[in-house]
Order: sequence, then structure tokens, then C-alpha cells
Amino acid sequence: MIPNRESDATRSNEALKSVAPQDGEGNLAWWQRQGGPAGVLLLGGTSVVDFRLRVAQSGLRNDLTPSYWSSCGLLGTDGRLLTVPLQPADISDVPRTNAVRTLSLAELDDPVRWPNIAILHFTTDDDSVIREAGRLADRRTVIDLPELLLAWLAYAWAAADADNPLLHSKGIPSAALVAAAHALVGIEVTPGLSSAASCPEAIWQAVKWWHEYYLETEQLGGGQPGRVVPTGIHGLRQRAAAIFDPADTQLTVAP
Amino acid sequence: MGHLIVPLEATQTAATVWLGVTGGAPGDLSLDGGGASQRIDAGWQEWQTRGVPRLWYQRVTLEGLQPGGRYPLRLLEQGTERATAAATTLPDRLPAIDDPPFVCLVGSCFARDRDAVGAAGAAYAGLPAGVRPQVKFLCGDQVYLDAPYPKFQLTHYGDDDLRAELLAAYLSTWTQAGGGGGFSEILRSGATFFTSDDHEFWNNAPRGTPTVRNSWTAAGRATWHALATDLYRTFQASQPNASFLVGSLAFRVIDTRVQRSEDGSTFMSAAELEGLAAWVAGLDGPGVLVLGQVVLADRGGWWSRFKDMGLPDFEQYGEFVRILQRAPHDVVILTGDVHYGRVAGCTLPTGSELIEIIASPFSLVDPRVGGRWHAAPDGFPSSAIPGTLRCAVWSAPDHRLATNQFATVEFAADGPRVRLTVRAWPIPMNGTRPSGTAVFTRTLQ
Repeated sequence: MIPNRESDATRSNEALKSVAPQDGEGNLAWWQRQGGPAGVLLLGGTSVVDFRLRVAQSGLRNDLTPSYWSSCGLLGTDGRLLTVPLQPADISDVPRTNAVRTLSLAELDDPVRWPNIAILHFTTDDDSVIREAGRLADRRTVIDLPELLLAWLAYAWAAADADNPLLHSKGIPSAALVAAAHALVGIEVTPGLSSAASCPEAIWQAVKWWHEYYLETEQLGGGQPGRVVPTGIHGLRQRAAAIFDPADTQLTVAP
Repeated sequence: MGHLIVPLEATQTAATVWLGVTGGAPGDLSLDGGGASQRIDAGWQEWQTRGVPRLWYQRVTLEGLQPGGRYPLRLLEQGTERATAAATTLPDRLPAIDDPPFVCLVGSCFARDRDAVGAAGAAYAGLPAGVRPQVKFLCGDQVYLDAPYPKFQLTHYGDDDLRAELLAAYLSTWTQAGGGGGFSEILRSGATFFTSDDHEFWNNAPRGTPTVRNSWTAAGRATWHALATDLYRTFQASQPNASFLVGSLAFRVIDTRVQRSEDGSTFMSAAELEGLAAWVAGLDGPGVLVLGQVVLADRGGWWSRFKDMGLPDFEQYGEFVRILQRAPHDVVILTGDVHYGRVAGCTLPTGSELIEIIASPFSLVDPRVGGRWHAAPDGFPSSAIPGTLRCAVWSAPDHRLATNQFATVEFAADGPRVRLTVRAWPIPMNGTRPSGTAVFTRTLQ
């Protein structure tokens, strides 16, 4: 069982709102239609690896169904995303960059490949969080993201005897980056976890179910400037996880 | 008649010693030590049972001593030696890293009935000279007032009988001797700072417990609690906290049991918590916090109401964690209670390190509650507490001792920093000299 805690809240956070994507609308257009906000970007993908990541987080959900989410990152208003994808551009870059990459939301536009999208806000000072994430790319001593990357690749590929890294307190690398960057500005983004194993589902639940915790934190005072009771918007095109394999669209079997 | 000397708190130039006499009123006594002799002819307080004085005691402070000194003490009755001890004073600065370190002992949980041969005291007395502690931190359960089971479950004690039983438990523990050992060996050498835990009262005090019949009613709990508090203030700590400095290394001993609420809200008074917050905020260097229960712990949940509620089970733990997470310097926690030895820690949001050192037990009260080591929870705090960040916790992999034990903690100045070395000492049962192992080293700042 993944070590976690249930929130005392009996009602979900009303500041987390659904904004349904329009027919044929890509993720970039959906984001632009919301005004292009910065924040924590959650994505739910449909590759085999995304599917396995979504299943791996199901233990954090009461209904044990796969998570809507497989990846996350820090999105700026310019559409650039700081994240830790499981697929590095160049494996030689991993040690130097602490596995952190900058992508553009345009690269994640395909609603078939990435049907679920959410943007969450834990602070009004996104620049500070992104700045800390950039520093983490130079500081493996703070958090060793390649170690997490290896654990999750082993799980994704079912290599050797690798099992769910969340059971061993190893977070999904992209979520570990998001959590660590927020921690450096004094914001806890996974209050529901008992371990240090961050994952997109825990960040999602923080916004959906832990709003009273953040409200109490605000009432205690002395918090970080810009810290807010979380808000968010989401567009869900695929609630039940499924795999979209481009090979399925081919009508013939290759010789 | 019996005579006792127990060195208590010390400063750089003074040492407080506790003097006790049993079996008859004190005679013409004098205390030799620190280059002087003083008559002890007044100031005795009495502890009575059934209307008869059973214990005469007082605290005497020796002043004008030298820092870092060791002072043999002799209690004489008309020239005849009745008791001996050795007081120590604090050094005025931490020794350099090439010199013998400042050594503190950490220990807890001494079940006298389970140490018939006095092994804990023998192990302490057998420590090599280079690691003999100048200061001892006894972190709770120095006496088991509610043992042996099922004595207090089967019988409801009246007030007079209870007074006699509880005093007898203290005296049998404080006077345990023989074979070069016994708990009195631990008590009589080096300065001692005490903090309490539940067995200074009864299991899971102040809540009622199934194993102590007197705790089943509010009136019974109130009577026992008052008597046990009086005895604790008589024999152990007379104040709810103690603080001292050795160079830039700050120490604070706090109590989380005496003022604990039954309803699960608080384990120390608001004033004490405020004092702790001021101490943490005012650290100019690393701090050492001594208390009776583990800080890096999970909530015990509903079942803990009947076993023993830990600090995370209290509402006040939230503010306690928020205070620690603001520490401007590294904080070392010394504690006991759980019947194993462990070193664990985390990096706080301020970048300071929190390192928790557990040493328990001196003598295990019951085999059913020992012999099993547990890693610290993955996070500090392990559950969501508003205004805190969850910090990833490590447990030192090479220290998983779950036998009778104590630890010594050595401090030395490493330039502006402080070198910490933890040495674990399993207590041998066959009277052989103890053999310690350095299980953890870290530089504090």
C-alpha cells in the first residue's frame, strides 16, 4: 500500500473547476482559451508507459481506478514547461541537467496522445517556483532526479523485478520536481502523502481535497508571500485510462 | 539507614547534588567536595508514608567550581563515610576535535525488576575513561511505578498504601547496587538531567490504562498523578525545563508528560511551548533538545489511546513541528521510550538538519514490548500538518540495536562547526566490560 493520509474534508474544493475542451480543440488552444495561465500543469497520457504510470497511482484513490494523470511540470505564461519526462532528449544530458527538460506546450498539444489536462495554482508567485525548479536542474544534491528516472523506467518497462516505485517512496520524477520546487518556496503540494514519494495524483488530490489544510495554513499566518488556497481548472477527455497505440491505426501488418 | 548522593544539574562553575537519607532521621552530616566541607544540618524535607517520615532529602549547590571539572563527593556522618559520588561541571567551551570530546550519555527505560544483577550500572561503571560522560540525559521511565504487571491491575490501592508503594519503587531503583553495578552507579557519577515519561506515572498517563486499577477513575488518576508528580519533583527534575550552553552548542531539556492533558490536546503547557519556540528561534549554533518521547514518529491512531499516545497523537504536535521546522541551526534530539536504538533525521525547510537519537532501554520491562527495531516514518511530519512542509526522513542503516543499551553522544568543536559522534553501548549481561560502536557521525552547524 502506498503510504498516504485521507483528508478530513467532506466536500471537494469548489475552486477546482472543470472546463470542458471543445470538439477538436488541442491542449494549446484549450490553455490559450483560459488566458494562458502559469501554474502546475498536469497531463494524462495514453501511451503504454503513461497507462502504467496512471495505474501505479491508483493506490492513492479510494476507488482504486487509474489516475487521470501521468505527468506534470511547471508551466510559464510563455507556454514553456519545466518537467522531467521519462524519455530524455539525450541520455548524456541527464546528469548535467538533473534530468530536467524544457518543453513547449505545443509539443503536448495532441488531445489523443494527451487527453487530460489541468492547471493548478498553489501560489500567485509562479516565477519564484519556476526559478527554484531551474536551480534544481543544477543541484542533484537537493534531489537526485536521475535516480527516480531509473526506478520509473525499470517499472515502466517491467525490467527485472521492478515493482511500483511509489511503494518504495520513490516519486514520479516530474512530480518530484514540482514538489521540490514548491518546497523551496515553503509550499507543500502533497499533504496527503505520508512519504516523500510525490506523484501527479497526490498533487491533484491536494487541490481537490486538502483545501481546508491550506486555509488553516493561511490562518496560521507567517506563510510565504503569494501562497494561496489552491485553485485549478481541468479538462478531462479520458476518465478511464486506456492506451492509444498508433500501431492500431495501421490496417496492415508490416512484413 | 541509607544515604544517597545524586549529582544533578551543573553549570560551568556550580553543581547541584541531591542528598537523601532513609531509615531514620539524618545525623550530623557534612558533605566534602570541591575543595570544601559543608555541614548539612538544615534544609531537610521529608517524604512520609502512613504519617511517618521515610525519606529526608535536600538539594545542595556547590559553587565556585572550575569548568570541565570532576569533583569527588563524600557524605560523612561524624567523620564516617556514608556515601560517595562524583559531580561534574560543564566545560566552558567545546573541546577541539583533537582533544577528548564533551561526552553526554543518553538512556531511558530502566525496569529494576528485570535487572537483578545490576547490569546497566555495571556497564556504565565499566565505560572506558576516555568516553565517560560528563553529563547524563535520562530520558524517561527511570522508574516503573506501575510494575510489575499485574500487581496494580489486581489491586486497588488506598492512598496510604499507594504512597508507600510508589516511594518504595523509587528507593529500590535509586539504591540498586551490587556487583559493581546497579542503577545507583549510573546516578552517582556525573551531572544528571532528567525528563519523564509515562512510567514515572503509569502506562499512558494521564489517560487511564487497563493494567492499573487505580487509573480507572478520575479520582484515582488524580491521586496517583499528584503523588507521582511529587516524587518526580523530589527525586528527579525539580523544574519543568533546563537549559545550558557549552560554547555555541545549546541544550534544552523539556518535559512532555507531567503537564500532559487527558483529552489528547497538549503534552506541555503553553508557556513551556513558548519557551521552546524562543529557544529554537534564538539558537546561535546547533541545538540539542532532550525529551521523553520520539519526535520522528507516526500517529498511533485510535489504538494508541489504550497503549501509549505518542507526541504526534496530540493536537499540540502541529505547533511543535512548526517550531522545529523554523530552526535556524541544526537540532539534535535525544530521546528514548521505544525500546530500541536508532538515529534518523531530515533536512528542515530552513536547510538545517534535524537528527534524532534514540537510546532505549537500559533494562527492558517485558519481552513482549521489545526486541523489534522500527525505521522512522518516511516524512517529518508523517501526516499533513498545516504550515509545515513534509521533509524526507532517513534512518541510519547501521544502527538497529534492539537490546538493552544506552548511547554516548560526543561533541567536539570543528572550527565553527560541531562534530557529533554517536556511540551505541549494548549492555552485556555477563558482567563483562561494555563494547561501544560508533554508529553515526555528522558535522553540525
